[in-house]
Amino acid sequence: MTVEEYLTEIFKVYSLVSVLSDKNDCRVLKLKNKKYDKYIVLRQFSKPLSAYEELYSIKCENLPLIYDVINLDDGQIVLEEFIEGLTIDEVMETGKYRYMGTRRVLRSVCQALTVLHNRGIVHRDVKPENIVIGKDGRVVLIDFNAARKISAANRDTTIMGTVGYASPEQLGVAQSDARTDIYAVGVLLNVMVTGKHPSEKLAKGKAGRIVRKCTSVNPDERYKSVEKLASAL
Amino acid sequence: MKKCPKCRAEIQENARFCLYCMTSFEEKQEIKTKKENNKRWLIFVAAVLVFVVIIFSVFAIALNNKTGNSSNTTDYSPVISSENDCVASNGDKMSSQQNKENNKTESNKETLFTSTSSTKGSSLDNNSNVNTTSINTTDDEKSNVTSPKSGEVSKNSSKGSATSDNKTNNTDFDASLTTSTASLSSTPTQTVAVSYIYRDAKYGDDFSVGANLENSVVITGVKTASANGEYIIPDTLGGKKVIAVMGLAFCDEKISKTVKKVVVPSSVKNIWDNAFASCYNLTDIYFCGNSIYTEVNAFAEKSKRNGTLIIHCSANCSDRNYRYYKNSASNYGAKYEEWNG
Repeated sequence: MTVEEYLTEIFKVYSLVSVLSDKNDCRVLKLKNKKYDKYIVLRQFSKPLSAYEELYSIKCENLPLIYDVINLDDGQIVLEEFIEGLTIDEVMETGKYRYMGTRRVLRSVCQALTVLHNRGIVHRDVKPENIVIGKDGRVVLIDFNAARKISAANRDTTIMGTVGYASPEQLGVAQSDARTDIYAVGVLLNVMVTGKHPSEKLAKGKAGRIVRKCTSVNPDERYKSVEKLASAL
Repeated sequence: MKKCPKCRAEIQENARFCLYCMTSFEEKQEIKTKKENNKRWLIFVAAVLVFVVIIFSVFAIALNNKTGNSSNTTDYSPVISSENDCVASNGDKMSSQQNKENNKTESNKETLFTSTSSTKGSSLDNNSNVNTTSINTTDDEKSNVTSPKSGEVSKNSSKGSATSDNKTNNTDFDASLTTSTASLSSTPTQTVAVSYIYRDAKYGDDFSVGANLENSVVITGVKTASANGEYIIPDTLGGKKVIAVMGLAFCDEKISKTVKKVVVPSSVKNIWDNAFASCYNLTDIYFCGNSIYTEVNAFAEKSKRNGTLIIHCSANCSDRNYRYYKNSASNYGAKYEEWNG
């Protein structure tokens, strides 16, 4: 079955609400079940991603539920839970976060990353747009399009992630690992507290110290694990 | 194609999720995340509990102390509230009686006493040659003479000092007045009633570790001033032995100005730091006992004092450190005068 055929099947039951993102190799749609009035996120990839298959088997408060991963002849379709809420990016349009609020959000992010790292997955795209605060207060890390399994390869072959949040090694300097996400969490912390990238304005006090450690150019100088970062927060 | 077990809709053969009824067919491994606030709440609740327990125990101790004081049990835990309530006085009637006695009888003691009151300490040494045997005889006389009067005095003075808590100790109180009267006869006059503030002695008040301090009190303050500036510290207050004069006891602004002469009974073993620190007019202090420990800074500095301070004590009198006042009076910036109190 091709992607086209599968989508035709799906649209018999679901109606398209909006296109969340549309890039060359990835399209994200928000669909609504015509009968049950429930929302679902459909991700369409031109190449299969192993991270979603890995995530399918787990259920975690800080990660979206993956309903199904369908490998088709010309690509992959992922059906994912839609989380009703606002992204950090949208929340920050109204103002900056206080350190206490930031800490709460980032601890949840760290928990999500712990689950991923324990399964050998690096998210590689931790940023305000990819963290959703649910209506029920649930903090969920979404979008595993850039995620990859940690491998023994010497360096990242393709440049993935978002400039500013991507660590030096992610941009081809060295191999990505758990510390890549720690770098991004550090930047995220600074952005949430100050509204600016650490290179522009570093957060003051404890937050600043954590950011500086997270964003060390040398991965060895960063926190050794997300758990360590979470306890530092 | 297969059918969804829930909605019977036809779905893909390898589907793990029914698109129609949105049901998952496979069990997922649930990963429980740590609730960060749980621990904090526990700590907070524990802290509150500990705080409440502390408050309760403090109250319980305070309450226990209060009841303990009224039933006359010894408790060494510090309770400040009872401190200021205890006020005893040696009445002015006594001194007037004393004056009459002075005029009539001619015991050695009384001679000394009159001379002190008339010359105000200038000629005390003239009378200091009085031998110890005569003191012994007067002690007997005192008890004989004063005991019939004490009942009458106690009635008047207990009316006057309504602040006294020790209502249960009437007999003890009488006894204390008797001894106060006794000490009066051996020392300078005190023309107006002096009320002392005192409290039960507690551990450490007498510098000695583990001493039995039951039925002992310490003077912590003076409530009313003596008109002629002469203070005779009684050897018992509220039926209990006076063992020490605590720091700042005579330093109330109204009192310290008036203090000129002080007689310390033999029961008092310690005079604490700064007990007389602001008594700049203090010229004479009489130690009746042979063993007393006076802190070096118990009296006002030499430069601040008006006139010389004379320490009157017997040749055998020593402090705890076995230093004779004879040799160490200069430590106090004072002069030593031999005196058989």
